[in-house]
Amino acid sequence: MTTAKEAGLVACRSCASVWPVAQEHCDRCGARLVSRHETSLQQVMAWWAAGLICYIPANMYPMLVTETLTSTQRNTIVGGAFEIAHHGEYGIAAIVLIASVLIPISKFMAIAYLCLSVHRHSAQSALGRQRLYEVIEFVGRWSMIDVFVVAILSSLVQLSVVASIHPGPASLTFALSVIFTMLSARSFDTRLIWDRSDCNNNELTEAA
Amino acid sequence: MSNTPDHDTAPEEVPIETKRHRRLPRFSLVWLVPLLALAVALGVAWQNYADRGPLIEVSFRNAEGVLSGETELRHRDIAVGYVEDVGFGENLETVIVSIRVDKEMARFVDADASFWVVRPRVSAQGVSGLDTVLSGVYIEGAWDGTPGEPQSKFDGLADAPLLEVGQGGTVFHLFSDTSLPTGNPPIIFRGVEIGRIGAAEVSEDGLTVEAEAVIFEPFERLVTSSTRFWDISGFSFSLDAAGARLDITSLASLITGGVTFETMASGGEPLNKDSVFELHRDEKTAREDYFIEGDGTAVDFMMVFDENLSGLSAGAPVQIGGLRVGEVATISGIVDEDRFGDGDVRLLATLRLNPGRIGLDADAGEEGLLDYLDERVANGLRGQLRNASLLTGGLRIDLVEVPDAAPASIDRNADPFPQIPTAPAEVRNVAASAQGLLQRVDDLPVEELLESAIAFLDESRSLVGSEALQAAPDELRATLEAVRAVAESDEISAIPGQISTLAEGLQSAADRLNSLLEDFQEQAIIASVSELIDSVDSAVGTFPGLAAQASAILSDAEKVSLETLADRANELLASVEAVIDQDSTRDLPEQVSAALVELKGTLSDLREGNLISNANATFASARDAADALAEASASLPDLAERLSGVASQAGSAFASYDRDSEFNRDLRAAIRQIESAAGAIDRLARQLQRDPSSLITGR
Repeated sequence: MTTAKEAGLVACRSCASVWPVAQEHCDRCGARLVSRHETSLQQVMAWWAAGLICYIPANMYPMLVTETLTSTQRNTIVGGAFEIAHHGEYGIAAIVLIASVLIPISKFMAIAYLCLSVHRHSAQSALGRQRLYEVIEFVGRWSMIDVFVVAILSSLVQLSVVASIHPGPASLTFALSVIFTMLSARSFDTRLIWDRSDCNNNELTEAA
Repeated sequence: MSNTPDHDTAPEEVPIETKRHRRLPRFSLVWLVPLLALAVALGVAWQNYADRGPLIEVSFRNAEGVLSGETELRHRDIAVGYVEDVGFGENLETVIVSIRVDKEMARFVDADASFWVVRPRVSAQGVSGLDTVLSGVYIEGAWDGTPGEPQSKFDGLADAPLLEVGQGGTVFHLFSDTSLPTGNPPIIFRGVEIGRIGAAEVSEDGLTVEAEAVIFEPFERLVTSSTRFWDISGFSFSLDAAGARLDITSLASLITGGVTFETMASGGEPLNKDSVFELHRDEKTAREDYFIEGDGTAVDFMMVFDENLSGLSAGAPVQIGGLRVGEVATISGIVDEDRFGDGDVRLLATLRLNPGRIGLDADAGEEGLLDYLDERVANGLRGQLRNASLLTGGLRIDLVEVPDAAPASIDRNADPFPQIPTAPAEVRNVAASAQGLLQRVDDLPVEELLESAIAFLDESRSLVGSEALQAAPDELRATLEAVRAVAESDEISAIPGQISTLAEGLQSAADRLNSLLEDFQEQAIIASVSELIDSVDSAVGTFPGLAAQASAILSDAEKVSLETLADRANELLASVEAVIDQDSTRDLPEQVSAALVELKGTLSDLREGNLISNANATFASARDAADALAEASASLPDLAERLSGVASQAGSAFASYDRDSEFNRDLRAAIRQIESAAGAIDRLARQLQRDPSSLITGR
């Protein structure tokens, strides 16, 4: 099987029209045409780093500040999840933990793995990595569920003195972290997975 | 990446090689994002660290409600820090609260800073710390506005200090033997709260209750060492001669208690933080205390009384005369065989005397009082127990001067205080007296008395029942009948007639004398008056002699023989006749003559009669005659008075004539003679009246 690059062609990533490699801009949609993003991995790693930097305070600082008549409660992401579990809501606790801890962390790890594998011309299955990337792309957005919950609670639960909920500093950094990892995942040029992998070609051929 | 063309359809001249051969990887701008994030994070972290104030540790006995990371430190109700950590001190005795203080405030938190936990508090004075009900407790810090050497370890207060932050005032100490009002009661002066009392604590020795108290600015000057505090908690009710009295100072103090004070005298040391005041039970006690203690000059003494009496108590008055000069501080017993020679329990009283009450100079102090008392004790001043109240049996101590007391002096070296010598007590034991009275009544021989009375009545009955006594009335009646027979006899019956005859004679004589005097008056013959007076005088002069003679005769008459008596009587009669025959005597009032005549008749009867049996009757007649004579002489004062009346009448009659005429002078002389004659008659009459029978009987 021949790749577009090997055929001297380049596909527009915006409108999927195919142009010769020399073509710099898509005549149809005007997007810049690159066969491979030279700085893809850099961008991925940069966003990844930014996401990681934001993820640390997102876990250290309180995500949610609940003020009631008698007390003020500050919950970090993990602390909040455990508190929910304490109240017997294991399902919700699991959702929170999965969405806010498991997914981001696995995303960080997956992106790092993909970058490293591409960078080192890993001999791992290109198809598996493609699938992995697709999963990451899909579930990454669900991490925002926590941020949305905080945003909704903050706007809804404003009962003046009796009870009010404010987003903690972690909500901002967590949101940033999620955004950065999404950007990181988006920056990844999946075509790189398939380059320089002869065996992968075969696999793909077989699969096709 | 080698791009080996293995397909001819692809144009070979694709100029991608040039791009592909830039081996140096292009630096992506996206890297700026994590760099920026990192910078921001580091910046924030650094700023946080740099802005962070010092961590101070405050130890509390109890940190109820303090939460790490949440509880705030406030100064004047503004958050200036928060609790970072709550832990325990050594041995778990205290709670160490670590507080992160704001950097700009940290420099003020120096040695004078104090911390306490503000909790909601509901009291009768109001509700405080209500916000902490909802927000949770916070730690209030108080410090002044001058930066000092920072300090990191503090001891927290159990309660809010009495002086609020920024409030001036002076803190001092109050103590009481009984109790102090609790719940931060106010100090009220003329109805205004000018201070506050802190939580009371029992003193180390357990004898008193102590509390800090504060007087706010600018009222400190109202309190001096002459000030006395008393409790006005609750209400007081008294019922006495002045009527019923109910005192309630204020409703708040009724519920929560309160304290007020009065500065009893000007001067005195001003209030300072070392001042200690006693809280008295009521105003009366406070005033009495000032009366005794003055402004702190009272001197301690002691006395040992041989009598171990009940009734003396602490607080009993000590008096000199009626003046209260001190009070008994304590009483206790003392046994000292070496000192007193026996093992009796004696009464040891310590007293406090105020030299100012005695009238000594306030500066005299202890030495002055001792010197004064030394001198007085040398003169006999002694302490003595006396009744303070007969009703309650309470005792007081009087300092009295005991005459001829054994010499004694004040023992200045006695332990614990100088000892004043004492005298035996003067205590009237009312109970004992009453008991004694009852005892005496009890001892009366009531039974014996009743027995003898019964015996007496028995004897009386037998006596009354005897025949002899029953015969007595008959004899008595016979006696009475005999008496009546005597009384109804002719002799006795004739007596009134004789008496009336005599009286008539006397009356006619008086009439004649009256008419004679009237004649004198009418005729105004001075010479006759003078003559008359002379004769009266001489008659009066001879009268006593005559009377003496008569009485001598009569006295002898009973003793001597009738013959001698008759002779003497004859002599008397002769002399009487001589007297009677005298001209002057003849001029005497007729009744005297009549009496003498009768006497003569009697004596003649005596002389003629030979029967001795008649003698008694004769004597009786003689006595009658003497009585008649006395009666006659009883009218002599009348005569004298009349003579006086004549004289005064004559005087007034002659007063109209010329004063200087010879006639008048004679007349006045005559009148004076009349007056002296009347006086002489008066004297004679009195003599006769005093003892009429002496004229006859000579007794």
